[in-house]
Amino acid sequence: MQRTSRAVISELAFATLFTLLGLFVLYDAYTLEESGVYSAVSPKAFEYIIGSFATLIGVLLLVEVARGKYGIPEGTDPRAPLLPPDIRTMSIVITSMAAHIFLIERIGYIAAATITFFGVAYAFGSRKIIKDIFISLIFAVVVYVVFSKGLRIFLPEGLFENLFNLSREQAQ
Amino acid sequence: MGNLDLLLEGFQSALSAQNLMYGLLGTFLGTLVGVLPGIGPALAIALLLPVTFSVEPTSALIMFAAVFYGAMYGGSTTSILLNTPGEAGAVITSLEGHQMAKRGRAGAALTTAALGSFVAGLIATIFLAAAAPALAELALKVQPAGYVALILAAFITVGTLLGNSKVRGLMSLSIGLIIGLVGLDQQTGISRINFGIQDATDGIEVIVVVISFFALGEVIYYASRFKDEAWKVLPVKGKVWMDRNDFKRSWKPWLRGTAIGFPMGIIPAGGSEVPTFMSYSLEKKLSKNKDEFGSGAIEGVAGPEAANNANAAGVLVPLLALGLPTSATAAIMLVALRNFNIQPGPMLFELNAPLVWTLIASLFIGNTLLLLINLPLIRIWIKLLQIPRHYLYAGITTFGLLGAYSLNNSLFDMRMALILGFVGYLFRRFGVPNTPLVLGVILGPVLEIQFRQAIQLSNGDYSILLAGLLPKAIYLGLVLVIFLPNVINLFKKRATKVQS
Repeated sequence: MQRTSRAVISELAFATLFTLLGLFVLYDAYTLEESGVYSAVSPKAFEYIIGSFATLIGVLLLVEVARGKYGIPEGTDPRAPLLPPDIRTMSIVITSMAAHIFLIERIGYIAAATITFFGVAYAFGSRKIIKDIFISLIFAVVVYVVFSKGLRIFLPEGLFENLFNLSREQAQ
Repeated sequence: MGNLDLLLEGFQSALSAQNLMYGLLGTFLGTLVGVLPGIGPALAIALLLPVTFSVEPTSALIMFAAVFYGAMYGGSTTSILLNTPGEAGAVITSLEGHQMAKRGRAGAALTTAALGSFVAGLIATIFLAAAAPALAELALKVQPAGYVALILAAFITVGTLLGNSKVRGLMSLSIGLIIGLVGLDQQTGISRINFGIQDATDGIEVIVVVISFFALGEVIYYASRFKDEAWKVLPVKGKVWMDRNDFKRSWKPWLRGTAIGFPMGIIPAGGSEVPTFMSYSLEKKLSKNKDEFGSGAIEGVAGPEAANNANAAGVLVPLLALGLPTSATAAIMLVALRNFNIQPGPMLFELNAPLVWTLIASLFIGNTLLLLINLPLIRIWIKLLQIPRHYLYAGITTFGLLGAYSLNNSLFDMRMALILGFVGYLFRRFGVPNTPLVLGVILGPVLEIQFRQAIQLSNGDYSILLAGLLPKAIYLGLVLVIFLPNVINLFKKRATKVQS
C-alpha cells in the first residue's frame, strides 16, 4: 500500500484525537459531582466504563496505524493512492452549512436556505450564477411552503416569509 | 391465537382511502429520497420523519412503512444504474446489477430487484407477524441481566462484523456510546459531558446524529474528493420488463435470498452485508451460468435483493419484540415509533396491540403499493438520477439542516449537526463504519438502565449479570464468535506448516 507521509500523519492525528476523547470522558467522570439522589450504580460508573473502553480502542487504533493498517474510505480502491482532500471545496461547503445556522433565525428560512443551496452548488463546480440563484430560491420557497403551510411545521420567518403569510390571511 | 384477527383489524384500520393516500405519498417520497445517490434507507427515514409527525398515528405508521420500503427500493435502483450503493446491503446488488446495466439489461435488473423485493417483503412480513409476538412472549421472561447480555451481543457483532477493521468498528461504537452519555442521567439528574452548555443537558438527538453522519458528513466527504469523483448514469435501453427466461432464473434466487435474509435479520449478525453476500455466493455456486457472474448474471441481482429486503423485515422482529435495533435503519425506526408513543419491547403486543398490528398491516400495504407504483414509474426514477450532482448535494445539505432544525426548532441541534457532520467526514475518510455509532447512541442509555436495574435487583451483587441461562449462553456464544476464527486459523497455519 502506497501512502504518503502526509496520509500517515493524518491517520496518527485521527487516532490520537480519538484516544484523547476517551481520556476526556474519564476526566469528566472523575470530576463529576455526585448528587444526593441514591442510585445502586453511580452515574460515574458507566462513564468510567465507556471512557476506559474508548481509550483502550484508541490505543489499539494507534497500534493498528503504527503497524501500517490504514483506513480505506468505503467504495474506493484500496490500492489507489489517496489524493489530498480538496480543502477549497470543503471550506465552501462547510461555510455554507455554518451560514445556514447563523442566518436562519436572523433573516428567515427562505433567505438562509437560498444562500446555503447556492453555496453548496457553487462549491461543487456550478458556475451558472443567475440560474443557480433562481433554482436555490425556488427550492427554498417550495420547501418553506410545503413544510410550514402544508405540514404546519414551524420555520423561522424573515425577509420573504411574510409574502406567504399575507396571502394566507387574505384567503382566510 | 387471535393474532390473525388482530392483523385483520389492523388491515381494517389501515385500509381507509385517506390512509392509502398517505401510503402512496410515503412510497413516492421514500423512493424519491432513496433513489438519490448517497442516501440510504436510514437517512431517508430520518429526513422524512418530521413529515410523518404532522399526521395522525395510524396514517403516519402507514406512510412510515411505505417510506421504509420505498427507500430500500430506491437504493437498489441507484446501485444498479449508478454503482454508488447508498447502504451496505445494496453493495452486492451493484456487483451484478451494474454489469447488467452496462450490457443494456438495466430494465431486467430493476424489474427482478422490484419483484424480488416484493416477494421477499411479503414472505418476510408473514414470518414477522408470526415470529414477533412469539418472541415477545418469550422475552417477557428476560431479566435485566439478560438484556444487558443481549445488548452487549448486538454491540460486539455489529461493531466487529462491519467494515474491514474490527478496531474501527468498535471505535465507531464507543463514540456512539459517548454521544449517548451526553446530557442528564435519567436516574440521578446529573449532567454528564455537557461542556458547560445548557442545551447539551437535554442530550443529543439520535436523528441529529444520523443526519450528521449520513447526510452532512457524506456531502463534506464528496467535497473533499471533488476532483476525482465522476459518475455516469447508465441508460435503460429496450423494454423494462424481464422476459420468461429472466423470470425462470429469478424466482428460485428470490426464495433462497428470503430464506437467508430473514433469519439473519433476527439474530444480530451485523446488518445486511453478510446475508446479501451469502446469497450472492450461494447463487454463484448453484447457477448454471457461472461464467456470467461478474459480467451481469440476473441471479446475482435477484438473490441479494431478496435477501436485503427479507433481512430488513427480519431486523424488525427483535426491534418490535425486544426493543433491540440491530441496524441503523432499525434504530431510526425505534426513534420514530417512540415518537408515536409506541415503546417496542415485550409488552408492546399487549399494551399497543391495535397500533402494532396496524404497523404490520401497513408493511404489507406499503410493500404492495411499492410494486404497483414503482414498476410503471421506473423511468421517472431514472430521470431523477440525472439531476446534476451540484444540485443534488445542495439539496441534501439544505434538507439535512432542515431536518436537524425542525426536530425542536433549536439552533443547538443544528450546530451539533454541523460538528458531528465533520466527525462523519472523518469517519468516512478513515474507513470507520457508521452503523455501530448509531446503535451506540440509541442502545447505550438503554444498556445503562438495564444494568442498573440488574444491580438494583441483586442489591449490588454484580454476579447477577451472569445468573440464568440466557446471559451464560450469550456470553459463551460471543466468546466463540470472537475467538473461534482465530483458533481455526491457527490450526490451519499449523496444518500447512506440517504439510510443507
